[in-house]
Amino acid sequence: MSAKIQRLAEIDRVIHEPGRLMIVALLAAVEEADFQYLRQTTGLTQGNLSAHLSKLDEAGYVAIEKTFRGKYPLTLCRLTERGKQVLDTYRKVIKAAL
Amino acid sequence: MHCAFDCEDNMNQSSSRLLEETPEVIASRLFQRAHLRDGLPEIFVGTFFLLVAPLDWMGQNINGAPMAAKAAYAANILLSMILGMSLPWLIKWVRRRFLVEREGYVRLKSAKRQVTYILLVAAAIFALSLVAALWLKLPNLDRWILAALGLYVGAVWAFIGQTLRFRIVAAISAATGILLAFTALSMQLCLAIFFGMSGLITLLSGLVVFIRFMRLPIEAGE
Repeated sequence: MSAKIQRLAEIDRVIHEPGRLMIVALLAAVEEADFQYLRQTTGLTQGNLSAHLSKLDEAGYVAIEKTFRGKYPLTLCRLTERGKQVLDTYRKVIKAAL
Repeated sequence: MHCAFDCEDNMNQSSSRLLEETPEVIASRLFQRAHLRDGLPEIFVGTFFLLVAPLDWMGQNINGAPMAAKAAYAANILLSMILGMSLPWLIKWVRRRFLVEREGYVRLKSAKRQVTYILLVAAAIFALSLVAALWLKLPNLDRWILAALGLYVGAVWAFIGQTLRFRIVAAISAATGILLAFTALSMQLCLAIFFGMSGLITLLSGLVVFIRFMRLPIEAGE
């Protein structure tokens, strides 16, 4: 039991933050989503979402691509393989410990 | 302030649920909520129900009716079929063509298998119940079917929506089906009333949500 509890210390802090956890969980269910869709669905403010996405991008958990659909600018986000692995590990560690 | 509470609530819910459910389940719930936030699915399904509602009754009374009524009947069948088959595509098209600045863009994974399985199992249970009822030669079978149809439509709405407004629509649909089963009205008229009532409240619910959604200010993307 103590070994499982101790594993909490190794938890990924990038994904542990609730806002980022919400983004990653949402992206796990879709192929890709743009910034506006994530903002609407998570309820995060524009600044918060932008900051969280930057951190997830830096960590390599989310891939961000800036493009256009007609005149409408799209900031497309998708979960990387690394992001999927980290989310799965995070869930297992938390579940085992708590 | 309201948004801040909402955000915090969303976050807390996501964090606590992650312990009990897989990320896919949590994300599916968030996605489902987003899918229903503009009311478009209800508007289209409600319209479809309203188109389907009089078909059986019209079919029974079409002989000897004027040409205009026959044309309206044929047009209704055609429209119902087109709308029924193109519903998901139509919703997606309207969103991408007119609402992308408000709603954003999302590309889904190929199929939501869990939802499809549950709906298929529910349909199979409904069909098996029908076969069993036929085999047992239950008296007033058409009335049982009507009540079961009400419960089935109600259960599907409650399962899909999982929000208060969907539960209200589900409860009204189920109650309408059950109440109609106890009346002495003809089956054709009962079906017309059932789908008419169900379609009308679904359409109204969708329109209210859609108007509220369109009144929200558009916030610029990143």
